Amino acid sequence: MKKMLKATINYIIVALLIILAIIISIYMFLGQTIEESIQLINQVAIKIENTSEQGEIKLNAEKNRLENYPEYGTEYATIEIPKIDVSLPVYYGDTLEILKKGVGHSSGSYFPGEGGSIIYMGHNSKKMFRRFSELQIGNEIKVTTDYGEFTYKIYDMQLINENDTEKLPVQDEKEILMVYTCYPFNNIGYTTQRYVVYAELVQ
Amino acid sequence: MKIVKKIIQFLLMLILCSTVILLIFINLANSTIFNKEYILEKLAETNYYEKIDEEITNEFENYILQSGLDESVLQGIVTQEKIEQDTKIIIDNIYEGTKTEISTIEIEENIKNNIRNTMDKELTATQQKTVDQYIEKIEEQYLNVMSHTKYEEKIHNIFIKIQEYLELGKKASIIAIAIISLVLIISNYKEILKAIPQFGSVIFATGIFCTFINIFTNYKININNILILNSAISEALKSILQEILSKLQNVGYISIGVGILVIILGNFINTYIYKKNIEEEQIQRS
Repeated sequence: MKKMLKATINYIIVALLIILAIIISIYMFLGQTIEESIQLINQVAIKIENTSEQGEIKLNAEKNRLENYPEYGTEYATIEIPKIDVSLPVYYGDTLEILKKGVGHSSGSYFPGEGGSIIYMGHNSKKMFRRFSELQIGNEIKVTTDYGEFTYKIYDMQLINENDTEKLPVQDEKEILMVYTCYPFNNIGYTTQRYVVYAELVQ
Repeated sequence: MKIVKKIIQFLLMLILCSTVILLIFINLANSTIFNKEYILEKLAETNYYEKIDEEITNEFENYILQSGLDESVLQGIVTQEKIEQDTKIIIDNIYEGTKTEISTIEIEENIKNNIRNTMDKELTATQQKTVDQYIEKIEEQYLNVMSHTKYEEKIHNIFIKIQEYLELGKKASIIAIAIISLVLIISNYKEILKAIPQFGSVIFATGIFCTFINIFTNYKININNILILNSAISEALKSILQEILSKLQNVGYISIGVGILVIILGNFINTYIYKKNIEEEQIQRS
């Protein structure tokens, strides 16, 4: 019995040595490829659950930058245009999903208070920017965030093509708010033009 | 000499274990990822068609807000049957190499009918032009959601190559297993039955490896949080991967159990024969 037990344990040890040899061989020849593939999969295909708490969004006046940025897809401000009775939530991001809910903030532009170009967009529906054509130079746009209130005054309006990105320049020398919507406003079908309102920070 | 024999037998067992593991993975791949019927079954199981229907409806709704058209214009333009049919076209393109294109004529006709029914008056020439552009966008959105790749032919070619290698690997593995098993038996020369626990060791090692791969994959990749392209594809992919790992786990557990039994049985038989031989020698001496 003892002999049988000893023999059994020996064969199990042999099996474990076989596994060790296989794993070491795989690691030696394919280890890096496997690690890189796993990293790629985790980066591209795995949704990361955000368990960390969002830090308070504050404006660092010295550096002219926010200390914490809103999470993509979250509401962080309200835009008010008294002239056309607009008061809408502003979301960070510009996906079609966001534009269904409110005004989108182009993720390639700056935030209010950072001293650069801020690009907002919204649909030309009745609930949103249908009355954009009534805006005039001098009208005010107010953006209220958790970290401050910012008032802008319209100084220009332009009609551009949907692919005309030069007319929406991103710069960091002066705080300019650019808000655009689809044009024509009462169009039926697909719109290829955009109506852009340019406003500079006054307060 | 005995040590050399043991080393050779260890190497034979190592190679045998490797080829058995290879054969297991080849069979797993052939019965899942490279099996068209299995994929279609999984799509139905994970409610893929309903989820894609929802995705398409959401995409279409995004365009209605800026179009000036009534929401009812998009009612019933795409049915779930069409989605199922078009999905099968894509699957056939990938697995069978067919080059069928998805037709959007039905969608175009349905939208035009709906627009005609909702509009009070005839569209002007300008409006008709923008409506035609709008319909094109809708069709484009449908095709984007249905087929996220324009490379179905390339994927098919890659699949064919992989399947050829898998087939070659399968045949090579079976032949290798047969030859190595024979050599292992012969290497035991006068004590052929000693090969039984050696085979048991190989089966046990295979089981441990399969279990290890299952644990390793689950540890390194959070399969439950897979998100690729859209939720419909993600759910289907998640289900396929979970099933593959589950099958691997089952093979692992069974192999561990069978391996231990074969080792014990082999040792029991060898111990019994050894004792019998000693008794016979003692009888002969006396």
